[in-house]
Amino acid sequence: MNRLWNDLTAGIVKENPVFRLVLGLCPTLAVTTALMNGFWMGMASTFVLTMSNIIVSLLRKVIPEKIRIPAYIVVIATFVTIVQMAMHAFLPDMYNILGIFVPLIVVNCIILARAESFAGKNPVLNAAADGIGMGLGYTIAVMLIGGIRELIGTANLVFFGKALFGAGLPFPPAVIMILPPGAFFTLGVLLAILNAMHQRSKSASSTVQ
Amino acid sequence: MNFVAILIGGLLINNYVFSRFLGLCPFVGLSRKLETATGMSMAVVFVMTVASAVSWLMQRLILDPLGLGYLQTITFILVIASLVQLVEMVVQKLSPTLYQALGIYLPLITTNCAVLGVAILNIQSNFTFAESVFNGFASALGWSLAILLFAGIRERLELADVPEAMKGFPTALVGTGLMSLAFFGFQGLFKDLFIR
Amino acid sequence: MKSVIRLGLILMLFTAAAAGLLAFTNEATKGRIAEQERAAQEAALTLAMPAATSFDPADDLLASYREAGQFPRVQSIWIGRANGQAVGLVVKVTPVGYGGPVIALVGIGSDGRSTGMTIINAAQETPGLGANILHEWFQKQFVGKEATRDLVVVKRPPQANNEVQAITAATISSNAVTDGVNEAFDLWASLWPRVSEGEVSGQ
Repeated sequence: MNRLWNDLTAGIVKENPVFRLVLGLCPTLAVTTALMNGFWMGMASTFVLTMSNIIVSLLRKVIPEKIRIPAYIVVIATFVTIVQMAMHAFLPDMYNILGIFVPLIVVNCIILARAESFAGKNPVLNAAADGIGMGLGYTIAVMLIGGIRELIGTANLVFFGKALFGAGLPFPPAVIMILPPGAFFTLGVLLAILNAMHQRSKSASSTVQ
Repeated sequence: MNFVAILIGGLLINNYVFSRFLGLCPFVGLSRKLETATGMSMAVVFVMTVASAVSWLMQRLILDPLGLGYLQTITFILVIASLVQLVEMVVQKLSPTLYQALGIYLPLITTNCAVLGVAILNIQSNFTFAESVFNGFASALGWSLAILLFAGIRERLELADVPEAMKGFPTALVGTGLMSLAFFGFQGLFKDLFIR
Repeated sequence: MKSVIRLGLILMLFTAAAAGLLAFTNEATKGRIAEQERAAQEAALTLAMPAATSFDPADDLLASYREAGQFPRVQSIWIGRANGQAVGLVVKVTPVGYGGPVIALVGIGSDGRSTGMTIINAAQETPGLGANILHEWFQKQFVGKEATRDLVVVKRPPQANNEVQAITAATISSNAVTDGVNEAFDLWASLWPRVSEGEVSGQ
């Protein structure tokens, strides 16, 4: 039980796919012009990650070693297409905004990396926990980036269709934040802050010892 | 859509790295040295051009006539994966020198989203066969331009005195952001070219 | 050799199962997606021409222009009808904005005045700048314009009937939309007499 909990929480902070492993940069930067885009991209990726982890783990003894990568790709591509169709049917506006980055979840390195390094070697419950954890970690990361960019870039935040700050915050929006350069700046600065925090906690713990 | 417009679009205006956000993982990962950047660029130009051709044929000759458009994603990714394998074997047989230069980069290309990206964008843009192939080539050239320019900058950045926390990815990302800002100036420049 | 065949068969089994699952999902969502798109189109057409109750696709009328290479930005047209009578044309145009094509519907009534303009897709425009063409105040400006005069984009509140105000810092997108509307106006001027005449002789 304890192990299962560890597998679930590892992806959220300790091994966060975006902030610690720096994987899957393209969708992370491309769709994060707003908080809600980040939310739905995160949800879609979490679904694919969890389902493909479960299937890969269930079939890990059936899939021959030699063809495991193409087999994993087929599994991932299947769930991506399911997400694509479901989004098209039920969230058409979001489907248009995320555009090409929905099918491109297939080549998000996080998913193949988890199938290869975790799900292919662990029992199904752990694989599912790992998928959910990694997915949540990814969702938190893209929502954070999307939220920061939207907040500074439009002086407002929209959450499930509701503007959180009414008519907007009292500062002129810095539109550059929702343009492509803003994506690179935001993630770069976030990573630097996390690095600094990491180093401080490391040096703090070494002085205690 | 004329070929000049596709070329300028792929190289400058809709550059895959700076404006479309495609192929970023290898861009950040392999831009530390000019040498690796060159190797990857050659491999990407080659695979993206061929993948554009093959994926277009798959879509227009097989998926569309059979009404199987919904299998696009799975078909394209499998085509690209097998194509990369095939290219690897052919290059190994025909030109051992080229294989030595490209060898280690080829397997990495399957998960380069620029390749799947260009295949899907070609179909979405309703390009003809020739336009698709040329768009694959031009977009890959744009990607190469980006990584080569950036590798040059990064080789110098290595020598700069950067705060500890900014070393590695943060510097690379902020640097890419600045270049993306510069490339932003190209947008809207050749607007009239894009009218069909 | 044997192992290659075995591996190939296993992989084929995998893809067959995947294709089966996808065919099933496609069946389940197909109807909803089609319905969704139909409803979205219907709603957009009504926004462009509120007075009409039904819309007949009339793309066959475009054939001669296509051959002559005229009206390159026009994609399709509909004849708007109320009580069976043709009350105007709705034109779908795709001018090129800042990042790529913008898709808009323009309605022009039988009196030669625009009845509405709605943008269905501006996904390629920059959020916060060009994408502001989706704002209602911008689209509202295109109602009640005379289709016989070309619209001009100005950077101050409009004073004449043929002026529309540009969006701050998004002149290219504003111009693109206006170019599209002007082309729809020109098409109306060339096509409407034929349509209304055809209606009379057809009855």
